[in-house]
Amino acid sequence: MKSNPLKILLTTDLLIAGAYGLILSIFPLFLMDTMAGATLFTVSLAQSLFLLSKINFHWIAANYIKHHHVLDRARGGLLTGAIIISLVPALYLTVSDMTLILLIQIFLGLGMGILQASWKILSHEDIKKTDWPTLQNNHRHTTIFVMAMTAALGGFTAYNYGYCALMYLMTGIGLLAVLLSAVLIMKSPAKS
Amino acid sequence: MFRWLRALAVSDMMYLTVFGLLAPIFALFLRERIPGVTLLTVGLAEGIYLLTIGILRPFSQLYSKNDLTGWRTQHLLWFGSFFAAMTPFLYLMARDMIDIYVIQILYGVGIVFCEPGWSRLMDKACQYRSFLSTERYNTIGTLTAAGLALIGGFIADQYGMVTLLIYMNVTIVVAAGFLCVLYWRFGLNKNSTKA
Repeated sequence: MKSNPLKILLTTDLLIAGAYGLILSIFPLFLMDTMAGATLFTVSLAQSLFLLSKINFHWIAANYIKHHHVLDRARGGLLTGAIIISLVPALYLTVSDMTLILLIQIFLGLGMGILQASWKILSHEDIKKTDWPTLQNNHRHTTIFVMAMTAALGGFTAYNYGYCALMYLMTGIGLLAVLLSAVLIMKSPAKS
Repeated sequence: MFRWLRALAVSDMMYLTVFGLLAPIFALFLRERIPGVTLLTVGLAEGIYLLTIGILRPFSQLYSKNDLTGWRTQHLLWFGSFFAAMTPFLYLMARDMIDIYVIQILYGVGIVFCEPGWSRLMDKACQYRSFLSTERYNTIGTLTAAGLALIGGFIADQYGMVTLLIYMNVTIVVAAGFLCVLYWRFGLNKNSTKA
């Protein structure tokens, strides 16, 4: 792992996984506790909409990025995705109705889809110069550990300081990812 | 060959995503069934599951890395399938959060043990059909998970958590059995004598 862009990319991914992992395990409880009209079915619907939106926007973004000016578009996509994902916790705090949560889940899926598509293209560009399978394996293991830690940390934060503090923490970590994506764009020369 | 590929994809998807039925509402299940559940303990339960996967995955990969015949991987798949298939049943019998933590560890062990077998089958599948790329496979898996999440929520909402868990148990036992048979039929390299 010699190149700086690669380190930035891997750190961005870990930060996003960490931010998302904070709420992943307790998201249904958050919805039931704070949203009007939350039932078992609507909570599942929220999760389902997120997955559908993520996979659809992933394909759309991947096709768009690969079409022309690949690296520029991928870097822009990384920043856009990180911004959208860091906005979502703030949006969770402002709404109190399940219908709006469903819309936010689609929005989150959009951000996640764009980010993942861009991340994959950028990392393939950089990682193919290095030992790809080893690096991919290490990154996958690290991500799992980060998500395990953040799942417990998310529960701890929400239990002791409330959902509000948890959302602020998520937004903070998301903004760090945005910052890193911006640094990546500034450091890398524009090329297609 | 195309038929077994499709069967593999379907069974693998069922296997992977049958927990998609419960995953979105797992925290609510704990709150409904287990006394003394807090946000902290729910987070810990998820953390323990992920930590188990993180710790054991390198070992299971190492164990099946140079397995030319596929026998060792098959044994892992058997044990993993057994643990994973037991999980919904054990959730029903859990009385407190300690039970849930232990079950989460077992579930993690089950998933990690099954992974080398899945990977081996998927590698074979991709050799024969180039269109069945990992990317498309992931897409189909995510779409199935989305659908099953919705069905899981509906079943739990209309008929209760117990019905959902019984349904899950039956489905996962069928899928696990099917996957083991599939591996025995196509995953093993019976011509090779080197273990």
